Amino acid sequence: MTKIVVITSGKGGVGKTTTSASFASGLALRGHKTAVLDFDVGLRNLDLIMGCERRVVYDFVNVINGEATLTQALIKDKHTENLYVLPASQTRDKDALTREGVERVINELRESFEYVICDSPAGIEKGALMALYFADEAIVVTNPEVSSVRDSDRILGILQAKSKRAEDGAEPVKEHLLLTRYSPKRVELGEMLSVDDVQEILRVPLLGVIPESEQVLQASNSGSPVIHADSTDVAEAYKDVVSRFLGEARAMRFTLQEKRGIFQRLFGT
Amino acid sequence: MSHKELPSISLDISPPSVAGRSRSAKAYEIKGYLFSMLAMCLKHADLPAIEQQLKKELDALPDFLSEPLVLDLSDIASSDGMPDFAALLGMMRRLGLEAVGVCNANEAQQAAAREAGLQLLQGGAAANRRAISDKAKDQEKPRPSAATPAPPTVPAASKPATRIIGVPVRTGQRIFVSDGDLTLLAGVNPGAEVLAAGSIHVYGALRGRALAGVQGDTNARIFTLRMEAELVSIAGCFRVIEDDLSPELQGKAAQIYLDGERLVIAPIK
Repeated sequence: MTKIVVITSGKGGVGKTTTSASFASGLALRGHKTAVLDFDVGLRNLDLIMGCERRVVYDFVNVINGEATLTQALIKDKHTENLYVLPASQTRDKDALTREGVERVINELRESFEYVICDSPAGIEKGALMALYFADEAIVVTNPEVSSVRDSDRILGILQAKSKRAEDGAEPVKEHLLLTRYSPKRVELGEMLSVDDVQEILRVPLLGVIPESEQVLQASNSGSPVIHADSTDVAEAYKDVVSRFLGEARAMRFTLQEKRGIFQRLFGT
Repeated sequence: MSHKELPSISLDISPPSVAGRSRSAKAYEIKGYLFSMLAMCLKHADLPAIEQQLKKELDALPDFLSEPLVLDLSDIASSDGMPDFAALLGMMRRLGLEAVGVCNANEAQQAAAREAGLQLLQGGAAANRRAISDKAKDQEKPRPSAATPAPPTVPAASKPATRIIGVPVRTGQRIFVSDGDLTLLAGVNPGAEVLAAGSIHVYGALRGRALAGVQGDTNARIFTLRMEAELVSIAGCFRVIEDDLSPELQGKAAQIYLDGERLVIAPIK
């Protein structure tokens, strides 16, 4: 059974697209045929982060309008087998995405893909609602600070009320919390909310913690999802996220400030 | 606030036969809806004083009265005070407020209100309140225009049902219980709103807004294990909690009740 997973947050700039790119890549690396879709019509970013912006011929809206087939629009990722990208339109406006059109595309994707990852735009307007409507599961990306937590709480309420599963009275969308840009040092200083602080308000199972890292910027500049930056904290954290999502137990890493030993302090690692 | 439920009426409309249009498709359906509304209970008809108080309160909390309001004239119906409705509406609009109707008005006031474009609404909190607290001094001549029958006092024998919510009430959500108490097992998040005709019991953190006794029950109370509310109200008497309460209250178990006209927030030891 194909799983439709939406990566959403409410708040902008918290790491949805970064997560969509790495999460989808991670699933593909584990051998699962995965498609990742960009729902941000007009402000598309997913193709940049995936490094395929120069290979976009047709986009999501072209497929909905029947101007291209899904096969023509899907871009095969050059970093990973099993991974395909459906870019958003840069020039159309948000109204070009219709519910019937999106439903048709998702149903067609169900025929050959195991996972369909929907990268949602920020906000709670049409694009975001469209991205979450058909979801079976949701990863709510949250930064450990108050406005992000507030917006994530809002989007969780919307998932409970405005998804297709909610409207049909089916089993509710399965919710996961992903804390991104986490800095244990700042948590200790009291500048940032801790995992527990966020959990206390959002009450959603924690899928993972992604540490703040310069690698993310480098990754997006080079057009390669950060999960490919082997042996970095961020890549390891995203791999853990994928493992947990697939049902494997993984201890939570990168949540505690590492105590620097004497040698590290002397020689500055 | 009307707490009578309208029966659901189904109208059968058979459109003339037009090629391609289905005979069974309805243009609309009449349904009984229940809305909770805020009422502004005018104490007199002195517009400048009203304007001054409005400006002061809106300064403190700009979004507080952002919904459409009903003007409750029960306190000035007997003294035959006649507000200049047109001027009042104009003044309120300038402040970003919209009054949509009046309730508990005498005949003359009703006529003037209609002329100013206001709707006449049946029932409302004051009607209830009078029945409960003023039974002794019922010297007021019965207002001829009040179409509301005297609201029935709740018989001691039948306890109203209580609603229990086991999941967190999330930002932007609103729970309204039109009869009986409301029990929340997982807390109320900031930016969420819970309203009940009876009392509100929060077995968790109350971080949003809680309004108890919304139909006029001055004996309603709010109980919480963790008092961090943004706003509390009993039978229309509200308090915005801007700064932290005293240490014995902030974040601790507390109850909120009405002592005469005074809203009391007291610790539960």
